[in-house]
Amino acid sequence: MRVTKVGKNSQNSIILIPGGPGLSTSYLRSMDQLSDKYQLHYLDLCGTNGTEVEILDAIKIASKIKEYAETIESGFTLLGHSYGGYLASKTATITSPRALICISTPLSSNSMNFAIDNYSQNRSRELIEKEAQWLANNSDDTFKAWLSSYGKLYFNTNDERWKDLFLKDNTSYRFFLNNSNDIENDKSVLIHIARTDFPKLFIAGNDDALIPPSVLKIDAEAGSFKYSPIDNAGHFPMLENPKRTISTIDDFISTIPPQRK
Amino acid sequence: MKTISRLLILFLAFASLAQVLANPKEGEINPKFQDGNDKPGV
Repeated sequence: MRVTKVGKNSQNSIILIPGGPGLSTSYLRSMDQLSDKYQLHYLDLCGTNGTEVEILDAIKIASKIKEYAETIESGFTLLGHSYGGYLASKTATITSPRALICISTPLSSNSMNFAIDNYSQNRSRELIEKEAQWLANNSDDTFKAWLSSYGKLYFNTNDERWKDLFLKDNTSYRFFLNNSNDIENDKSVLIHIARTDFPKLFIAGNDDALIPPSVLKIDAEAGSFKYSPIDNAGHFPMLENPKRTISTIDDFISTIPPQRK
Repeated sequence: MKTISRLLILFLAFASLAQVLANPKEGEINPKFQDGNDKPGV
């Protein structure tokens, strides 16, 4: 596991976990502005950004994150995007975070089924081509090319910056192959999360074409999250509307008492 | 001769099936999407 720390306020830490699985923390760095107030701990693992490729189930990954998180003496908020939000949620059920934040995270097989249906029904020709290359030959190059072709499934605006971001990412295709069934196979994460008493925030882009916000909201309510939609954003609100995403996170954390035990 | 013809037909049938499986159509999920390959990236 590799942690990149940004920001000096060690009294108020946020651990940030990327999605995919298999994307690195690079795209989450759009939230560096939070480092003015918080210490950000960007987490890479299972092969992303040069970390060791480890075959771990979600529970073992959560245990590793917990082990790191509990070294932060002043406490921590767990934040994850998409699959990373699922890992953050699993970790939150076995430790005591100050708070949990999920962004665009499917937490049920229902949400994953919507993602699968939307993917199969709305794939562009380019995406079908990249998918075939990915399936014919699993590698980080074909994995990145596949993800970079999602287009409107991921993004509200057709911006070449996002394509470029994924093509240059230091991904782990093995992480994806090993763990992409985790969410669908986990029937209990929402039940466990709903029973926790720390503050929970769920952020979703209003224009998410991969998983409809109305479906994500069902998961958010089942897990007793506060639900906050972000306008003018799809599946990656931190990229398409970073200002609003950051202010939503900051406003939420600011309401939490400084120290939770 | 008959045996060779039957083997050839069988071979061609399998080759065609492999071709179909390798090329997904728009709107279809590729049947090779199995065991970790059947989910989109989230």
